[in-house]
Amino acid sequence: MTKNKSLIVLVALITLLALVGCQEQESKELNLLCVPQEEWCQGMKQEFEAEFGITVNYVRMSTGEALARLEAEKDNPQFDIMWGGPIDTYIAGKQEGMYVPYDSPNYKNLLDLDKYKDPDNYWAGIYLGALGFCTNTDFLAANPGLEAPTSWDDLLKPEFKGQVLVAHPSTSGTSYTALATILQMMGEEKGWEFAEKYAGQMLQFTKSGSAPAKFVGAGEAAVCIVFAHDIVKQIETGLPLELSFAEEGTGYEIGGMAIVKGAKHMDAAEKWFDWALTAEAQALGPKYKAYQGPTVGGVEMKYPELLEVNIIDYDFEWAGSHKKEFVDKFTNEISAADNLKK
Amino acid sequence: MTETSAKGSTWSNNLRRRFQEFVLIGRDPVLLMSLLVTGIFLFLFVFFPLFRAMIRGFFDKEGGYSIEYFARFVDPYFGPFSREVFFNTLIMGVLTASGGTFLGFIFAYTMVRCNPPGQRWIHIMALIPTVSPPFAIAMSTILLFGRNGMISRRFLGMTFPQGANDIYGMDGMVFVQVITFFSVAYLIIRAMLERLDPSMEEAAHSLGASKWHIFRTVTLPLLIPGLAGSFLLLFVESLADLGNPLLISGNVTVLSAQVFLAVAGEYDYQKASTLALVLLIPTVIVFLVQRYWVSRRSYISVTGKPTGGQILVKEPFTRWSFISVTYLVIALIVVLYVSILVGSFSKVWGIDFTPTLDHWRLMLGRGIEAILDTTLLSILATPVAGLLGMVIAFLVVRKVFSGKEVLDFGSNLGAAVPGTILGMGFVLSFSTSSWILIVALYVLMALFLAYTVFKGSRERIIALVLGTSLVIGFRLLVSVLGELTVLYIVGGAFVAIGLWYLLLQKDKRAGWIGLSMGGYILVSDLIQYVGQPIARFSLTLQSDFAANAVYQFSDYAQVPFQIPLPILAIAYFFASMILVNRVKPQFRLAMTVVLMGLSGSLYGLAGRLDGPLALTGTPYVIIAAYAVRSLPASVRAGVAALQQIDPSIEEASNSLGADVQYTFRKVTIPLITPALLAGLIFSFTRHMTSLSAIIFLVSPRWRIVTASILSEWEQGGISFAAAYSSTIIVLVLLAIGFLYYITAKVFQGRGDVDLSLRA
Repeated sequence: MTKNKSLIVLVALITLLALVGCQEQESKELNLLCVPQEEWCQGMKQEFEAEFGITVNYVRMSTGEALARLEAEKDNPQFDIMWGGPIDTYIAGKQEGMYVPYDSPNYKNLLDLDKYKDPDNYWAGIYLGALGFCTNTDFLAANPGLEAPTSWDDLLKPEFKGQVLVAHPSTSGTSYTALATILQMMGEEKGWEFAEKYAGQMLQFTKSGSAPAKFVGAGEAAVCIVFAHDIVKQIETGLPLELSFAEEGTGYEIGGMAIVKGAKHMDAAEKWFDWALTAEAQALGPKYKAYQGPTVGGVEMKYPELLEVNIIDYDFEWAGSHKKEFVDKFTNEISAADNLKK
Repeated sequence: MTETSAKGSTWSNNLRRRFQEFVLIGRDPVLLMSLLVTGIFLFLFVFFPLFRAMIRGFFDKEGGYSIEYFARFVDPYFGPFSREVFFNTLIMGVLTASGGTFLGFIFAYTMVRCNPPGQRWIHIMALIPTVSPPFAIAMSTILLFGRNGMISRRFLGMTFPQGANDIYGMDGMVFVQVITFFSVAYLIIRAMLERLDPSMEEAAHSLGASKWHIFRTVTLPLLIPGLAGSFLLLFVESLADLGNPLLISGNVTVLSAQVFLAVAGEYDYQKASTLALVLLIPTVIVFLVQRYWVSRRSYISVTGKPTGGQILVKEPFTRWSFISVTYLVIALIVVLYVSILVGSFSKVWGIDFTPTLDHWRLMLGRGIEAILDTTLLSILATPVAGLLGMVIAFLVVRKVFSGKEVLDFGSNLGAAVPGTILGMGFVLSFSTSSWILIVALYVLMALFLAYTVFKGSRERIIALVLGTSLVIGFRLLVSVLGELTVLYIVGGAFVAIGLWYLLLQKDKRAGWIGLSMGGYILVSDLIQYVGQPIARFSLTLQSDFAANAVYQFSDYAQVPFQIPLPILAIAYFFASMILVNRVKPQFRLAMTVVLMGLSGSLYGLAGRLDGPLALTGTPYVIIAAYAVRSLPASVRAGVAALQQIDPSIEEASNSLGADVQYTFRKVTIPLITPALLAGLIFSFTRHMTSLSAIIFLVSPRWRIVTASILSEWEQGGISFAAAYSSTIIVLVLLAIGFLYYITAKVFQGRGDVDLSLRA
C-alpha cells in the first residue's frame, strides 16, 4: 500500500517536472528602479500593470543611490530598468557600462532627437523641468517692499541672508544642476565667486533636492531653489509659496531612463521603455502630481508656463564630466566654509 | 637557542593540546554541529562582510591599490574638512554619552532611592525610546522645536534669523540622541544601584558623614564601573546612529551620515569604505575597552536582583528634585510621541492642523507592501536569532573549548559596528557568489561527514575523494543540462534514497528523512506555481491596498521553500550523517559517498537565485542582517537564563543516561523558555526598528519601512513619515503586549520578563 502511494507521488512529480520543462513564457514581472517621487512611481506602476498585465516591483531611490546600487549589483542586477532622474546620471552610468542600448520604435515620438536621446541609444529623455525659485508668501507679507527673486543676484539680497535653502550638490541632482547652471552662465571663475557669496546666504544644505520647497512652505526658510514642477506640486498641496524664475536664464534637467545591463526581464523592460515614450504615458504625470514637461509630442501640459521661461543651453556632457571635481570643490571650499558654521 | 626551542615545543604542545581538544569535541556530534552552525553563521554574516567592507577602501574602482581617501585626512586641501568631520563625530559621541549617562543616572537614582509615585509607569516610559524607529525622536523634535515648530514658533513666538541657534546642528542632534539612548544607561545604572550593598553607606552614616559626603566618597565611586560602562555603550550607539544625524544634523557632518551619503549620494564605495574604517576605529577600541576592561571590573548582570534592603532618600528637597526632573523628562517623552501621532493625522504640520486620514490612507495604499515585508522578515529572523543566540549562550556558559572567545566576540561584534558598514559589507559580499567561500563551506561540511561517520583514515579519504568527485561531476552536469534539470535530478535522487530506506530497508524514520530532503528540493522550484496565480489574481483587484497586499503573499509563499542551497546544505549534511548511521555497515561507505555527493552538489547550484550565494535581492540577506543585529540580545537572554539553572540538574539528567541532546530538549529548554521568549520579542523589536544595516539591502520585492520613512521624510512629507512611524510603534507594542500576555497566562508569571535585555 505504502509502496503504491509513494510510486504515485513519484510519478506525479516527474510529470510536473516534464510540464515545467515545456514552459518557456514571457516575463510576468518587472523590477523598476524609480527615481521621481513615490506617488508618481506608484501611479505609473499601477497604470503599467493595468495595461500590460505585468507586475511591477519598484524601489524609489535618489539618483546617486540608484547608481551606487547598479554598480554594486553589476554582476547580478536586481533591477531591469531605471526610470527618472537627470540624464547626467545616465551619461555617467553609460560610461560605467551599466546600461544596454535599446533601439525603441517610439524614438520617433521625441520632440528633439538630438537632445532627448543618447546618440548610441543608451538612454532616452522622459521629462523636462526648469529650475525655479520658491518664496514663502508669508515671509514676503512680513517684509513689505521685498519681492520674490527674479535673478540669481537677487538671492544675495541682505534680506535673504540665512533664509535660502537648497540641497547639497553631492546628494542632489537638482542642486548640482543649479551649481552647474551658475558656473556655465557666469564662467567658472566668476561662478565660484558667486557660489561662495550665495553659500553665505544659506540656511543649510538639505539632502534631497525637492525637500527645500517643503521646508520653505513650512516657514523654516524664505527662499528655495528647486525644479519648478516640484514647487507647483507644493503650492497645490496648500503651502504658501510663490514661484519665480531667474530672468537672465535658468538651467533645466532632462529626466532619463535606461535599461539595465543584464536585466532579467528584458522583454518587460523594453515594453516599459516603449510605453514611457508614448504621449499617453507622459500625459499621466499630472494625475500623480508630476508636472514635468513632456519629451514627446501630443501631450497637454497642465502648467505649460513652467517651460515658457528663459532657459539656457545647458551643457549636459560638460556638467556630467566635471561633476566629481565640482562637488569636491564645493564640499571643501564652500559648504565647509566658516560662514556657515555660525 | 634552547629558549626558542623550548618556546617552540610549548607552542607545538599547545597546538597539539588544541587539536586533541577538537578531536574530543568531534566525539560529541551535537556539540560539533552547534559549533559548525554558529561558526559558519558568524563567519558568513559577520566576519566576512566586515572584512570585505574594510578592504574596499584600499582599492579603486578598477581594483588597483589606492589609499587616496585615507590620504585625504592629512592632505592640506581636503584635510581640514575630513578631520573636522572626524572630530565632530567624537564630540557628538562624548556629549551624547555624558548626557545620556547623566540622565540615566537621574532616572535610576529616582527609581531606586526616591520611591517615586507611579514607579511602574516611569519604568515603562523610560523604555519607550528603545522600541521606536530610530528617527522618531528626531522627527518629533523637529515638529515641536524646529524653526516652525509647534512649541518654538507657536507658543514661544521665536523666529530664526541666520546665526540664531536653531534645533538643527550639534545641539539638536545630541538632545535627540540623549533621549533616544538614555534608557540603556538607566538600565545599567539602575541594576548597579540595586546591587550596591547598603551597609557601606550605613557605616559611613553612623560614622557621622553628611549625605553629600557619603554620596561623593562612597556611592559614586562604587558606581564608577556602571557609569563608565554606560558611557562607553552610549558612545558606541551614538557613533553608529544614522537616522538622527540624517534628519537633524543641519550643516554638521558626522561620519555615519557621511558613509551613507558617500554611497547614496556619490556612489563611491571606496570613499565610503575608507570612512567606515575610520569610524570603526574608535568604535572597536571603545567596544573592546567596555567588554574586556570595564565589564571585568563590575560584577553585575543587568538582570541582577537586589542584595538587601535599599536606602531611601528621606530628605524632601533632594527627593523631589530628582522626582520632578524625572517627571519632566517623561512628560517630554510623552509629548514627543504624541506629536508623532498628531502629526500623522494633521493635514500639513505647522500650517494646517485640520485632522485628516489622508496620510494613513495613502500609507496603507502604497506603503502596505513595506509594512508587510518588514513585519514578515522581522518575524522570520526572530527564531533564527533566538536559536543561534540560545546555542551560542549554551556553548559559552556550559562548554569549555578554545575559540569560545571568538564566538562570544563575533556574536557581539555584528551589532556593535555601525550598521551602514555591515550593510555595505553585505552588498559587497553577496551581490555575486564568492566561489572561495562556497568551496570552503563544502570542504568543512565534507570533512565533518567523513570524520563523524568513519574511524579509520583510509575510509575517510576514500569517502572524501569519491564524494568530491561526485560533486564535481554534478557541477559539470550543470553546464550541460542547466541548473534546474540538475536540481531536479538531485531532488529525485534524494527521493529515491528515501524510498530505498522505506521500502527495502524497512526503516521508516530514515525513509521519511530522505523523502523530505528530496521533497524540499523539488518544492523549492515548484512553489512558484503556487505563487503565480496569487500574483495574477492580485492584478485584478481594484483597491491599491488589496492589490499590493495580496500580491505580497505570492512572494511570501516562496520564502520558506527557497532557502539558499549552500545554507540548506548544512542541514543536508547533518541529515546525511543520521542516514548513514542507520544503514548496515556493508553499505556505509557507498551511502556516504552518494550522500556527500548529493548534499555537496547543492553548493554548486543556484536554484532560483543568480548564484548559490548571490543573496542580494532575496529576503534571506535581510533576515541575516536582522539576525546579526539582534544576536547579542538573544545571547544575553540565553546566558541570563542558563545562569539561573543549576548545572547539577542537567548533570543529574546526564548521569541517569540521557545524552546531551535529550537533556537539552527535555530539561534545559523547558526551564529557559520564558527568558527565551523575552529574548525573541526583543529581537523582533530590534528588527522592526533597524535602519542602518538594511538601508542598502532593500530590493524591488523586499521593501523595508524604516528605509521608506527616510525617503518619505523628504518626499511625501513629515505627516506621511509620522504615519509610518506610528505603525511601527503600534506593531512593536503589540508584540510586547503579546509577550506579557503569554508570560502571564501560559507561564503564570514563572520567569521574570525583564525589559533590560536590550541593554
